Amino acid sequence: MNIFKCFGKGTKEATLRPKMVFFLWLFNVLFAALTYFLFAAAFGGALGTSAIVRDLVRKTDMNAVIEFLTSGGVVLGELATAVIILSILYVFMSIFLYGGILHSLVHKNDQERFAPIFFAGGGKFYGRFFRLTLYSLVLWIPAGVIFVIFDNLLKAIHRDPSHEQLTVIFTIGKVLFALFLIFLIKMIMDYARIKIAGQDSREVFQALLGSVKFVFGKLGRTLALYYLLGLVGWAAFLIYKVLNATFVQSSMGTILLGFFLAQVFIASRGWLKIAYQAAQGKAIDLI
Amino acid sequence: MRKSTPVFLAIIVFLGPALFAGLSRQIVTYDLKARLVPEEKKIEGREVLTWLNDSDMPVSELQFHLYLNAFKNNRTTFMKESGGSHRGFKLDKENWGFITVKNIRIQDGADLTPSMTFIQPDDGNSDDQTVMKVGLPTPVKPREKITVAIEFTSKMPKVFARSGFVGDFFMVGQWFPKIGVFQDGAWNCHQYHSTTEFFADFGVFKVDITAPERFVVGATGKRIAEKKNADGTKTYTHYQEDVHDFAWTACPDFIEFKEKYTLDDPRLETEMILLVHRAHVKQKDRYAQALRNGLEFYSKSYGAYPYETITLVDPAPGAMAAGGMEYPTLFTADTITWLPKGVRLPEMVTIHEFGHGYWYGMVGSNEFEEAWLDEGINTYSEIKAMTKYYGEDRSMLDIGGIKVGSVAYNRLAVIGSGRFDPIVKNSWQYISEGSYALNVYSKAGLMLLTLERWLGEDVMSRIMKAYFEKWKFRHPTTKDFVQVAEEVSGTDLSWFFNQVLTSPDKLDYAISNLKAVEIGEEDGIFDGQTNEPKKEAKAGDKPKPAPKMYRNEVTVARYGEWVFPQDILIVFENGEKVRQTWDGKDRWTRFVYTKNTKVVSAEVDPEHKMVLDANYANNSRVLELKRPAVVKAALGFMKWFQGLLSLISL
Repeated sequence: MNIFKCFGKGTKEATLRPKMVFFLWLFNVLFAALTYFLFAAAFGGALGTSAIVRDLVRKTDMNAVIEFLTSGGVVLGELATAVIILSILYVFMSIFLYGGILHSLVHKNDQERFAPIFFAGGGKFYGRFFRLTLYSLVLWIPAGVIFVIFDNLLKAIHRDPSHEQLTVIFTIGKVLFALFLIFLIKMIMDYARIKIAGQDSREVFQALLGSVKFVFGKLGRTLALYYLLGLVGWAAFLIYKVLNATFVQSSMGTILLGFFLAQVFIASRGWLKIAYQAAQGKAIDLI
Repeated sequence: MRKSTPVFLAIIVFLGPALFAGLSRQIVTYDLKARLVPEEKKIEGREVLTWLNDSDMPVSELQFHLYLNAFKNNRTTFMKESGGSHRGFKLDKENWGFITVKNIRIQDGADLTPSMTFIQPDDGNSDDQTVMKVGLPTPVKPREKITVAIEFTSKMPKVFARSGFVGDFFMVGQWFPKIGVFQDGAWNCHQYHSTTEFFADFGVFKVDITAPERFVVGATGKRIAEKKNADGTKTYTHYQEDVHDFAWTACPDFIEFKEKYTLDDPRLETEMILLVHRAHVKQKDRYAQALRNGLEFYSKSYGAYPYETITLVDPAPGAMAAGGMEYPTLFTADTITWLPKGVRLPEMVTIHEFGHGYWYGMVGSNEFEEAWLDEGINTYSEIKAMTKYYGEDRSMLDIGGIKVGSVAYNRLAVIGSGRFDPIVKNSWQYISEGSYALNVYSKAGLMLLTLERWLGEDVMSRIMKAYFEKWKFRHPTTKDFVQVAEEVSGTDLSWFFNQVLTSPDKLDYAISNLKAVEIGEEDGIFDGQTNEPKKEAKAGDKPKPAPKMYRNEVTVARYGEWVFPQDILIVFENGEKVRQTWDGKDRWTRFVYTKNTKVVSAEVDPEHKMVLDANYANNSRVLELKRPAVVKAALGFMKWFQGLLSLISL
């Protein structure tokens, strides 16, 4: 089964690159850290000297949440703005990170230091991956049209709002279908980036079309590999949630332990990102 | 259909004195006949109304509510105010609703139809036809009655505000010409506004409802007869005394459940009728339990439920706009398919709407002019019932670790709002629908909860019982409620009610500052002589114990306009606790303690009696910032954002 070979290759490659996992985690933390300080300032300013926060370390008190939401209006607006701006910047950053990951994966000389290869790759492919992101509109627009057709089809089948169960099922179906389309396009873009980096190609649009052809030519297998890796992500999430629930975060020590656990989980997301690129890179040759 | 009218009138004439010995002063007697024409979404109706002039003056005209005309076009007062949207539900312009009065005549007498006029007592909007008046050839003398017969057609709108249809589901409320209330020498008959509900006189209703056989029908009151007709329809006769309105519902997809409910103390026996749409049938037990809870709580808290039936109507899917509405002995609940148990929407709506049977159904509050007397008192009752049966911190929501209690839910509505309106005001004169809702529901409910915690649960319980007992089947005003509260508590409560009922301001007390300043040894000139701090003891000398002294300051401030006496709890480092009281009148006050220990924290209203307080956070203050809590919250937010970033990039 070539899919499992690709899966094994991908996970092995990711496991062999702890520095890259560390880099991906570090960028994530650096971006998110700003929100820590903003939130702490807002929360501390609104409630920090109030005794109402005393119990918050033990349990969530809705009154405290309400007071914070209602008394910190302006600050919360600033926080929301920061979250949006940081998210947009991170999307640009992730284009750079893809370049770094793929450049490192395709680099043959193991003797060179990791960081220069990673950053060189990020810079080298940034323009091409950025163009790829823009060109991907040719996929997003048809996907949107397909979704609208699907939506209207469901509405045509189910016009009577009195069949409430069907409404709920159809709504869940629509969400799942939308997610399927989103992941399909992300997968196609993965393959396009892998082709560009693997062949050091500047023909970005051709790479995108080639990936579309490749994915639709082997749709079952490419999807199977994609979702197999996705399952690993879900498993990591469940393990994190279970471990997190085993202790109460009521002292500074346990709070920091909970934070550490979350960082391990975030690092696992970085590991998964590398595994995706490595496994799909292998898939181009094997499936 | 018509045969029963003379029989019924005969009953009224011969048994009149007995009828008037009922629970209420029966001002109206309605004999209604309704035929549902489902294909045309309309009801053909006939009404025989006997009205008693219970005033001391002759009355030369009658005024009627024609509520359905609110949905007649886009220029009615309701539509202008609401913009065709009510509580998030939108009007369907393909399906307007209206009521057409074909004719009105005095029983066996003059035709009043030519004198029919639409009037607009509230806003003068000539496009509004929700109030009709007819002139009488001769005035109705004091203590005399008049009987009029009216033929009408009610076209139901697609439901977006309480009444109407969706598919084959019909919620037929405010569907017949309903006479206004003649009060203080004038008709109290307001137009239908987007924020107003209803007001009417008590009396007797006998209604024949004819609908195709496939429909399951439910209605106000007790079913006294049921017969099949040759044309494939069935006629259901319902009868109820001591109510001021009549509503009914019909839907082929209802599944009817009946259950006898009994209680020993107070003694009551009633029949619970649940009309649950088949799409929601799995939630029948949630409805039934909530209704049992409601019956028990209200009966024990205020007085035994007096009617023989209580009907819960579960609106069809797509008809949520009909849900959450009260009518005498019948109410509409609300749910959706597969609603998780921790989302207590069906329970909350069931208890709330059942509760209206007390504060609107029996205590005939005027919802046009003083809606809080119903909605506010009922919100207070609902908070208490939900807290009792579902838990203080989770009575509204208990899902995925997120818990919200009724008090927190209502506080959220009040403290996050603008302050433009008081609690007592004509319902249509609030700055917005939101202001109306938060004032007459949440703020009024929390106001009564604040009063309860101020006076004590026992005193408040006696007040509510006395108010219900005194004013059931009558029309009280705010003044009457205040009077009962003062009589029962034996306290002048004008300082409380004058502020919270008529002023839009807020209640907000805070610990504005907390300080512990060490008082050093004497240093400087004292009585003409220079004192200096003692030098440090040399090594080997016996150390002299010199306990540090602190000047501890606790500053309490009033940020709101409402003045309430306050308790303050001050805690010192050595565990000592000091309680202070303050009349709360000045803008601030300061308590100073010189002690050999530092103040650790201070809290105004430590028992949280003032649930109306606009900001609980500033009620307390600690000398040192609670770092772990802030760190935990901020790290929690950061972790969430990290997860988001990893998702958008993967």
